Amino acid sequence: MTGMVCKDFLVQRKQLGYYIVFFLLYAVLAVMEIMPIGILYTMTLLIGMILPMSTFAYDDLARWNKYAAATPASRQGVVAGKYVFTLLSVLMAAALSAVLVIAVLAIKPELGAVGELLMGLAVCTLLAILIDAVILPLLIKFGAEKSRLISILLFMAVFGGVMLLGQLAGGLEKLLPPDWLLSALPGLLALLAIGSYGISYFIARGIFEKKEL
Amino acid sequence: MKNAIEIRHLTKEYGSFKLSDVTFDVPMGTVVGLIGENGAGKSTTIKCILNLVRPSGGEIVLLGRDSIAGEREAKEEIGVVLDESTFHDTLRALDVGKILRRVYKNWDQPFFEALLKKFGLPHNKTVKDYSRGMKMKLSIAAALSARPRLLILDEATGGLDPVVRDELLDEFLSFVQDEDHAILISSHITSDLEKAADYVVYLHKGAVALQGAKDELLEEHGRLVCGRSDLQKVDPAFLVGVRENQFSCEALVRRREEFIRRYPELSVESVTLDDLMVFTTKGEMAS
Repeated sequence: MTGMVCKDFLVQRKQLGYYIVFFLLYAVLAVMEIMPIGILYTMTLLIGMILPMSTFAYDDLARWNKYAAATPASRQGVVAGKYVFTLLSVLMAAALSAVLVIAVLAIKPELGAVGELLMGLAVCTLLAILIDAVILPLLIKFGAEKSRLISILLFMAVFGGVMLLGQLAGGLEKLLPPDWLLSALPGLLALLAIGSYGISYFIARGIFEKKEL
Repeated sequence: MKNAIEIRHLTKEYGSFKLSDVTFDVPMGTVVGLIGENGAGKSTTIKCILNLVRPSGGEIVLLGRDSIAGEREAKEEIGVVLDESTFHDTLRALDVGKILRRVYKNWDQPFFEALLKKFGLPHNKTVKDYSRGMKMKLSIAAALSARPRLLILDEATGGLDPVVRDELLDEFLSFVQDEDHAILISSHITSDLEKAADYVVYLHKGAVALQGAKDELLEEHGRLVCGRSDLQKVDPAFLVGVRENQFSCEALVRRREEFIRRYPELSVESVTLDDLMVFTTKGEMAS
């Protein structure tokens, strides 16, 4: 499994470098007040969505999974490696984002409260993990090309559904949960994200075990 | 251990294609060539051995272990080369070592680096900049550096120029000098297998059409070229396959020595693996 994680980092090293440059650039833009500071944690969400698709696209192109499953890493190692790499990437992006948010606020404290911004980052990180829990089994089942389309359709359906519900309820604000639920939301989101990621891993393993390579 | 691979009654169905009742062994200390036309089932057989597809039936024993229950332990001792490079274009040769030393317990990094040097694979270039021959050499260096006891090569020499093919075949022959090593190599370039293989398994339309020691198969068969009237005199039991044209007939005959004794007036030439394949595939009118 560690070999698979190492492979993803080596294959993605150039892209990871670009992401770091983007993070630094956005931090500078946030200090200059050209962009909102929230862009830093939105980047975490974006990386969480893009990176797994990108690694699967590279693997499909190289026909890597067929080879990897023929090594002692086996099918289980291939899936485990993907889940660990995705989680590590999201957590590393979140850590970098947290450091930059704190640095930006140290220079310009008037841009926001640290606690509030870090809570926003935590929510984005958990959302990224939740989204990955949905797209990783799809990527394993259908490959990068088809999954991209399926994921877009899926998220359009979810967000479209929320908008529609909002309209039916007479405005999105009317869909807001009560205060007690709102305050418990980060904790519930954490439970949901971690639980879904774990369940998603076992589903993906089951899919890949049956897949003919 | 006598056999590196034992395959018994292997079957696999894919829609219109069926691999049926394939049975053969890969003895230790030998090179077994899996030959057959495109679509004959060579890659499917190898995929079944490596558990990349699920067989519909049959049993496979790899280095004394069941191929499913003992999969991981067996794969520690198997080096694999598939028909195309499976390393990402953005990787460099040394990156492959960094990855695979975390995959194989017996990975031999100094040996890998020595092979890269021997094969003339530059460290600073990415896989994208390698030629097909270089990519295949990288795959073979990776397979050998896992210090396997069994090498499984699926069309590893396909699309390579004769010089590179010869170089790689020498590497395989050197690997199998150790009596505790074995190679299963699939190829439709039969000249490679004539050079390297000790045993040959010929797959035709998903079934084993012919198998045995290569030298015995080549000695036992002969190519008869004669007129139609001469062919009519030949006992059909000798004929494996016949091809007729307007002016003459060609036939693959079995029990060559006996045939020569019985028909001294007919000329029988030695055969190649290509002849065995072509006559079995296209000369099916004979018994």
